[in-house]
Amino acid sequence: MHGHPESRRLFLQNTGAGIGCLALAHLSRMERLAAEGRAVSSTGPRKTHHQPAAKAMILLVQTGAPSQMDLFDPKPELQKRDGQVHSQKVEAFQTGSETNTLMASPFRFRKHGSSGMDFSEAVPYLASQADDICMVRSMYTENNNHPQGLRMVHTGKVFAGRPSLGSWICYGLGSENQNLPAYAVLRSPSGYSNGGTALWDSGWLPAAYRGTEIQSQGPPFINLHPSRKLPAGARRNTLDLLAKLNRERQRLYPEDTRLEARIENYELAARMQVEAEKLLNLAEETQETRQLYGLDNDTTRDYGTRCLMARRLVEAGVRFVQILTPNTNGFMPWDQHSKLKGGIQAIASQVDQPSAALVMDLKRRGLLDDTVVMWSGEFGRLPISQNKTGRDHNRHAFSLWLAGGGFRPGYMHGSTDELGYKAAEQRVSCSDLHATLLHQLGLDHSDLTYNHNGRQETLTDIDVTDAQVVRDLLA
Amino acid sequence: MLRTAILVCVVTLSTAMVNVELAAQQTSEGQKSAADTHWAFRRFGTVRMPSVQTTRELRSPIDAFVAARLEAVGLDFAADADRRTRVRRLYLDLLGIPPTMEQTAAALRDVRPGSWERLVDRVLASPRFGERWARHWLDVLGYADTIGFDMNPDSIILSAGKWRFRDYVIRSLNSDKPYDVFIRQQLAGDEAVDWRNAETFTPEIMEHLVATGYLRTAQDFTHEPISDIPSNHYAVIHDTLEIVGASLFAVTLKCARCHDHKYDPFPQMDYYRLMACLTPAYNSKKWKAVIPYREGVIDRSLPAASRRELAEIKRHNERLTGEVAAVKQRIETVRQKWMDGMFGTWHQIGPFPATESGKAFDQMFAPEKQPGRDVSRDSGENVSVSKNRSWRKRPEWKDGIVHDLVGQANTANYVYRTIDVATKCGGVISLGSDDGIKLWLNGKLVFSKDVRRGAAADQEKVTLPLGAGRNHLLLKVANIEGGHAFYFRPVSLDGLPPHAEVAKLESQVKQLESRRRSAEKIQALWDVGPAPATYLHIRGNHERPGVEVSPGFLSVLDARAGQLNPQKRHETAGASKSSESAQGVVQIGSSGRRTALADWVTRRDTPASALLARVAVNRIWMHLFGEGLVASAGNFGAQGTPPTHPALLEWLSADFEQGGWSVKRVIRHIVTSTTYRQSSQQAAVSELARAESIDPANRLLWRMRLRRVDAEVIRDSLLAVGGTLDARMGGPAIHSKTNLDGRVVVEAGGRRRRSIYLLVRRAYNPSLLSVFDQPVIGITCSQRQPSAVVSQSLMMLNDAFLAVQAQRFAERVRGMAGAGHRRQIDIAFRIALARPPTETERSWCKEHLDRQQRLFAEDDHPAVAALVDLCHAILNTSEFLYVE
Repeated sequence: MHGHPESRRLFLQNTGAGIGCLALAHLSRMERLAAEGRAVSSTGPRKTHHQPAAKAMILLVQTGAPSQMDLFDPKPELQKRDGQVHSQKVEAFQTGSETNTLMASPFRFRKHGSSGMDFSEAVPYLASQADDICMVRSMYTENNNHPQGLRMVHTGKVFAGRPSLGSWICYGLGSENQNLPAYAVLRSPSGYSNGGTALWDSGWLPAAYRGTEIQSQGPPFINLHPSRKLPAGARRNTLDLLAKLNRERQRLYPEDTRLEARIENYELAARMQVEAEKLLNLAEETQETRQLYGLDNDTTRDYGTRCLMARRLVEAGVRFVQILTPNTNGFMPWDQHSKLKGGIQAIASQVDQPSAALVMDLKRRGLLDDTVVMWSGEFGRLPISQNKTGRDHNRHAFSLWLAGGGFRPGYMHGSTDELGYKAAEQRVSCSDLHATLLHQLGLDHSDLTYNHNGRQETLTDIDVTDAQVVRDLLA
Repeated sequence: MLRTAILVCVVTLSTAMVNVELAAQQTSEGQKSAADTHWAFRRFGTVRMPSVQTTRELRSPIDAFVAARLEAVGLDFAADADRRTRVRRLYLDLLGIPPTMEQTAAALRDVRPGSWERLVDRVLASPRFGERWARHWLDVLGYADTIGFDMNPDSIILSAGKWRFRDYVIRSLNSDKPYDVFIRQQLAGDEAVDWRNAETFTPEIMEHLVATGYLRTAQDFTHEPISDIPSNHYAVIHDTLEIVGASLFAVTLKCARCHDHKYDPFPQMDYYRLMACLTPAYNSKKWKAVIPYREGVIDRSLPAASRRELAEIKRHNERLTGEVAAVKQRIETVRQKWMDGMFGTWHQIGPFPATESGKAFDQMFAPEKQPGRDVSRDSGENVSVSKNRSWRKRPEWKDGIVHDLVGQANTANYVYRTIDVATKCGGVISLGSDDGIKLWLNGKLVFSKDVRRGAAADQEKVTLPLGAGRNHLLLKVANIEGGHAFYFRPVSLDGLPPHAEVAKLESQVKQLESRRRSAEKIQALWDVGPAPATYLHIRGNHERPGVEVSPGFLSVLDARAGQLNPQKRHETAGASKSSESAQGVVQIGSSGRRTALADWVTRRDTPASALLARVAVNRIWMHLFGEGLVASAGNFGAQGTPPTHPALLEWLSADFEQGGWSVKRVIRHIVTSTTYRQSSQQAAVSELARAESIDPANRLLWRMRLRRVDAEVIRDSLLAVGGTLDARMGGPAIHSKTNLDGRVVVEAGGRRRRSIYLLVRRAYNPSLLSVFDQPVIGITCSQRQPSAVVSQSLMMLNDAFLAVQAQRFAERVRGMAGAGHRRQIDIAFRIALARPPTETERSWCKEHLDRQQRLFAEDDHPAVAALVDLCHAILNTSEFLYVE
């Protein structure tokens, strides 16, 4: 698709000035919807969506599938029947669970806050935020393999190639800060999670809606600085010459906004070098804040740094921030097929405090009201033991929590059966969750469409999924 | 009802009489009346050549169609772009690299009539053409060199030999293989040649097998036991059908998986009848995994060799194995003899009973009080170390077997030998002991292990720091109770100059091993057995089979296509020509279903071949004008965009079909037209304003569109401008790697190869390409979406690859222009932008060189550094990224 002279709007759609999502904030809503309609050759402008409850979202991705019955969903019956062979055959993913033996949680649970929300002793910091958390204990998904599960949570389908949640949200809302990407991804400095870049890819949405990786060590963006050192002033001279050459040529195409965008981008690139570094300079934070996120501690420093960066990004107007678990390439820290207790302790000790700090810090700065925080893995784990000390994958039930953004604080939604194997009451599918998230961000999931090869695609694909906004989750 | 219409258009144009004849058209029997059918699914309609008033030269019927639409709204063509601009446009559009200075100059020198046409022919004949245009087809197919999800940056699972298909597409384009033949080979090449019985794989057989890689571009996750399951098998089949629908007909079939298509006339039954064409090859019950993920799994690839060649390879390798074994045995003999010469005779003393139970290991007996002592001279019954004990020679102890020390509980034995080496080295030895063991070298304890066990070979591996000359090795073996023994074997002497003969023999082994042969792979599709029953899947669920279906085709395109009657061929002679004929002849051993499919798709004078032609012609148009005549190049169905120039599309498509399906002919036709030659500027401002008010999107082509080039063209142009583009064609993909900061860089050996030869992954493609909108393709990509985001500017300004290209570009400029600024600037513009600078530009650049030279004063060569900087700036101009 190519820009056309008349289309200032199209230009903004396809050739935005920002790194990721574009400067759509400068256009009125109707104008923008019209522009998108034009740009994607749909039948016309979309219906205006409603007043948003939130304007940004932080997604804390917990790769590997955190165990619901060991963190958020206590099962007294399971504790009681520890070691008994289960009469019902459960759906396992790998080998090692053949004895079908029930395994109690090695963690003790307690109720927290005035809401009396359940947390295990593995996550004491999260427990301290009970009254700001909206816990969903009746999630279920379609596939119990990691790649498919991760894609389901991130793109709404188990198969590859579709836009991620963050891409849809940025496509729908645009960015409030032209100097920063609208969709920022903070992955572990030691590598990618299982799922890799697919978890923030824009699929067939324009590449501008792809998540941009921001590094928590070294320069925040690749190519932010010249590959070799230049004398002071040399770069300025080059940019000046470049601007002159580009302007001169642009005179032949006075109406072409793409060329204008390219010229402006060079100035923006220069500004970004300064502004991005400044924004991500955590030394500006107080000692108390740095401690809150665990920056003073080797175990929590990496994750805490990225949680703190996320807060600063959201403060600066970034629309969607995605934080990945601490890991090396492909490793899944929540994937306890054996030695569950130690494994959970290891990862919880890294993410518990920073995750809780993020909620608390956003709240005290007044940012939590219009920022959704979501903490979720890709599915849950089984009540039976695997390899004696672990648990295998479970697509039938998992727990996740939300905070802020108009989600109901101190609320526990839904339940699983007595052993925690299947979501039982008030079941929530990934598509229901997506519909609800879009709703809170002011977008109607059936109206947020994109024409791909002649099909009006949506995140939730309502015809197939019957996705619905889960009203009970809302404050 | 059989209708025949012969259309003869006689059009008077301002410069010439053009006779356009559309050949006879047949409407299929039983087809619904054409008027009820969506335009794209009909046979070509009657096209009338319009008469037009324009004063501009009409060089082709294309121009008449375009002019007619323009005139209808009161517009006219823009003037021809100047020749220089057109030359650059032609090279970038057709070859994906800018013209060299010489090429531009040659094109400008030729002013005789027909010079443009001659240039077009020259450019179309360049092998660079296939390298550029193959990418368009591979986009549509979602081609990747890797298999599975390909999610993790550092685990690349290659589809071995997949690149042969990429090279096949390049070759086919370069040789201008007729498009119908191209499609037939890809759908059923394997059924057209008798590869199963072939003595040797001729190039023709290879070509036909490799072509079926077309049906192998879907993401295939059956690469591990856990995912080699029916739902994934059907996912591959579904995606393949989606790719077939998109690539041939620009239709989306996937809606018809679960129910009749909502918008397009594709009943669910059609979908599964199409699927039945593939199930003899993609048979879930006899699935061939995408890679041999464990021993015994037969994967979906063919060896790039016939059975005879394979047997030959096997014999050859067996012969080699025998030769290698013989040489290795000889090495062992020589080496052993050589080593034996260095290790002295064993001496033994003991047993020494421990005074306390269980203390034999710890208690220090006489020999270890002087552990470095040379005892070789002490040997003999009469030399006693302590009461009743003396060193005894043990010449009968050979290395590499367990030696019994005669068990007595709670005792220790000592053994000793010398090691003579010419130079300092690390002697690696392998030990076994019953029970505990201590080891001294030249008086120093180097190993100690208190253990209870029986002696066996290779229980410990110890490296001895041997000094030049004689070394003294003392071992203590302690016994707790029961058996008492030890084992010793010299393994190697690291750092010692190799024994001349051993070295010679080892290089002989290496040389023999290098002669080992293996058949490379072809990623192909072939029938894996008899056709299985294929069922409709209720609601798209393969676990809910509905009625059994017979193979068939989209009924809207061919109502007769329900009955499959592939011709079986039972003799093999003369099989080779089969794919060239309209009616495929199927080789024995295959169901012929895909040949039947190929027949339906390409049978002339059917709605199917009309659609096939329209979709192909529209893509060609899109790549030359930036947008197709049908803007939704990936959807010709009811949800797609109607064509801007319906008559032109019909005429061009009919011409394509009737004119022998020549892609190059269509391209030549288009690029020689006035429509293509137009300037992308509009000289008069008033005229521009008027045109913009009438047709703001320039849908009607009142001028050429200004287009940003694709990612691959940017990278290839950078290399071309630097003068280092590696012109080698074909071969295995060039790998890239993902750095920790997320940057994906091409591996050193292939940095200068054209982008088409770089490894294509489902993610983690080279950053330079992905930042310029190279798509990550899940299934198919019909159109790219160029963006202008700031990460592109950062890439062009700061990436190390750009710095290197700027450097090379500057070296070239300096080599051609010398040190004079004026000439440097002139040459730099001509190389990168195919034009000289304007006076203004020249003076700015000159100022810039002066200014930067002063700033780079610290540099070794300030003038060079300034020129590199200028060249870098020129590569950053918008003009470099755009086709004007």
